[in-house]
Amino acid sequence: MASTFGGISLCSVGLYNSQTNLYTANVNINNAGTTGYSRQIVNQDPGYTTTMSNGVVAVGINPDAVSIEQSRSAYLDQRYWNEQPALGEWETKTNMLSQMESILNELDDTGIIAGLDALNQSLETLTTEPQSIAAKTAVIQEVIALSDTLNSSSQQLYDLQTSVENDIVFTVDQINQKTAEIANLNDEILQLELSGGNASALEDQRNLLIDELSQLTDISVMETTIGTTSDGQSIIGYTIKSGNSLLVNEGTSHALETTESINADGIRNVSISWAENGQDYTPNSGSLKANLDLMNGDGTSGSYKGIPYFMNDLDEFASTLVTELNVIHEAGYGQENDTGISLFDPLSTSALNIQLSSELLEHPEQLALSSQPGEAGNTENLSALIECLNDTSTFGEGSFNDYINKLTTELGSDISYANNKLESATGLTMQIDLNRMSISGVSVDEEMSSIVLQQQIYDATAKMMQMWNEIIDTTITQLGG
Amino acid sequence: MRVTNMMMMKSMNYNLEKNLSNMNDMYTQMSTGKSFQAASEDPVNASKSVLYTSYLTEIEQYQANAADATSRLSVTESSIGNLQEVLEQSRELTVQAANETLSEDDRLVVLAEVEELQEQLFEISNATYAGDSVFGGYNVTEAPFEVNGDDLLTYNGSALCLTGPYPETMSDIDIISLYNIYETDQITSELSDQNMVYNVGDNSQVDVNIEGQELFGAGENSVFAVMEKLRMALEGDTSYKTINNETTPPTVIEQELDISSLIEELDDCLDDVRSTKAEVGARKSYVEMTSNRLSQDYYTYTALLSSNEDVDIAEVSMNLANAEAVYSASLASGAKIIMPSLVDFIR
Repeated sequence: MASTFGGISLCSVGLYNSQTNLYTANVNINNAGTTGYSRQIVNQDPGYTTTMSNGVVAVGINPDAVSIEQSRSAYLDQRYWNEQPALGEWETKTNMLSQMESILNELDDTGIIAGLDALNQSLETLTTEPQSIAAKTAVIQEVIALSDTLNSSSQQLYDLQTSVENDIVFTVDQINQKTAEIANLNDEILQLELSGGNASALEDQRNLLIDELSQLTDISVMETTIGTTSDGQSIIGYTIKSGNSLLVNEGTSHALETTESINADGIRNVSISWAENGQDYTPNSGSLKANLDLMNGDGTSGSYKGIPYFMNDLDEFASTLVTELNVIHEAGYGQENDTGISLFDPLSTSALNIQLSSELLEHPEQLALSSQPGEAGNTENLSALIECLNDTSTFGEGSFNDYINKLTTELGSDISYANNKLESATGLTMQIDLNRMSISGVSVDEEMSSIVLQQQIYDATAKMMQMWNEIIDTTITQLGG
Repeated sequence: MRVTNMMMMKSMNYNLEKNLSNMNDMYTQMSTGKSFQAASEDPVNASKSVLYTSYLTEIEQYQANAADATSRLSVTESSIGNLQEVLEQSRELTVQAANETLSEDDRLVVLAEVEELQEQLFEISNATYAGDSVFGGYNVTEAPFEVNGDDLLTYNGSALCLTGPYPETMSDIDIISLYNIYETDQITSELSDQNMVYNVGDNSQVDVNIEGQELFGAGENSVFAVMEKLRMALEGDTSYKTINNETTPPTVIEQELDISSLIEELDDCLDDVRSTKAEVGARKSYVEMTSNRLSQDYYTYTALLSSNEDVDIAEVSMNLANAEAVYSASLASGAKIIMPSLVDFIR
């Protein structure tokens, strides 16, 4: 036999369910634009059981008929976290390489090749008027201009390397911070769910942190059961590995640290190791790897052609320029028959400090045009300088011009490769992200229709309540009366 | 597939950004006229562009050098022409003087003329181009031909005709002692080694100067020596002295002086001068030919550079119009997608 007030209590459950649905729709709409938010779904059991024994309908009310859970696809999350590092790596590389390209831009008329051309031109002009002090000064000016271009290119590369170094330190800090937070969240989620709370906000936060972390370095995420709720559901914690080493293990995180060093040649190097045991850590992807490649890559034994590679090439160029031209210039004679004078300062042979010799800076007339003393019209030494500048056997790549041209073409090809990589990584992560959104995202239309539906249900349930009220009223007042 | 608001927003932003960046590329191409702005956009063609630009700079310089070479060679050519005229006149006078019927007065007139021609010869030998001496080799600052304190003709400070001719009146001892002073400082060879070389192309060079000893000769058969012999003969000398430096010690030889034999010597000089003039002419036409080739190269490389990096304006404006159309279409459709939701219809 059904209880007298069963109908009322059934209605209150219905009202409660509708309210929960409305609240959830409201929360979903509020967070329709929140990054990392996963749509919440109300799971609803029928909430009653019917027993047909003795023709009696028993209505049991299940208190857990309504539960709220997140709509996420673990598979898509994993795929996203696998693809994100490539995106981070190529994004960082294209960005930094483009900056290098603007430093080593040879397409406009301010580059190193333009400087070489101008120097060559001024030397040729001097051949036709070896007496003119103006023509000599022009040569001196072009040598200074070329040196300045090399100095500033090298300095800018050095500065870029410094900023990459700072980026590495910053990235490692970020990784440490995020892994610590994830470990912390693993703990908090466990505690909250053990005490019967809803940890979905924290879970969203944790997933967002992993999204961000996966841009920085390559990670693999494993779901582990870290506990069981009172109603027997398992609580999921995340264990994060990079390579074969643990970054996060349930409630504990393992920190990384950076070591900066400069060797005897002044070449800077940054290495990353585990704070606990000092073992080297080598990322395989992500923006951290990109920055390390750019910072340390000198192109030797298959390493990436990063900033040191291009700085070394510029240095090689500068030192060859200094040695080759100085040998010729020192053998020649200037206007006052001075000889043995260097064109470039022989002690400054790197791209960073290559400069005109101080003698010539003060006395342009000492420019050694002649191969013999006392022959004002002799330009044999000048011709030798021109020949040297255009000598195609100076480098394996050819002349001075060819060397720089090859260098910038190489950089250009690297960038174009990186751009292609970035484009495909962007497309892929974009697609996965869209798929994730398709599952976890909030559709306002859906929520609105749910609200309309629940409103109607609420109204109907309220009407039912009114009906029960009337029935009970009849029972009490009419029968009792 | 379930479509959510964030999804639409994200893919719309992604596509808008792509379209906008595409349009920006077109704009940049349109406004710069270049199909690439950085080497990374087209590494192969960028490298070619750099190469062509270098070639063009080089060609421009070669053209300037060629123009300089032409004017220098022209000055040299006209100076040699003057020299040729002087020698031709001298030959005429010599023929006249060799005529037995020449009176004493006539002889003096011819002598005066020959002395005048000697002056001219000296001037021609010190001709200048833009302040630089033309025939001085690497010595461009000072006049290469000078008569020194010992009355000897010098070229760049070295005695040019030390072996003679000396007047018959000069004593052998004086001649020998003069020879001893300058023995180590004389010009014996007519070979030139102070070439002013201009680059007028890749691997094409031209000598733009003729050296004094090459044109005027050295020793007793040089233009100066022959003219001096002519003057001596007109003064009435019947012999001149030369030094034979083949013997040790060198000995003085007395040579017979005969006007009619000088005609032959002058002819030899003229032959040399004419062939040098022809050589200069040949160099000039070489430079001219090279200049023409340089102009052609300049045109070729300009065309190559242009086809390599310049955009086809018609094509780019089509592409730009297309990109603009796509962008505004995506904006319009984006506005339609984003705006309405069920919210707009539930009142």
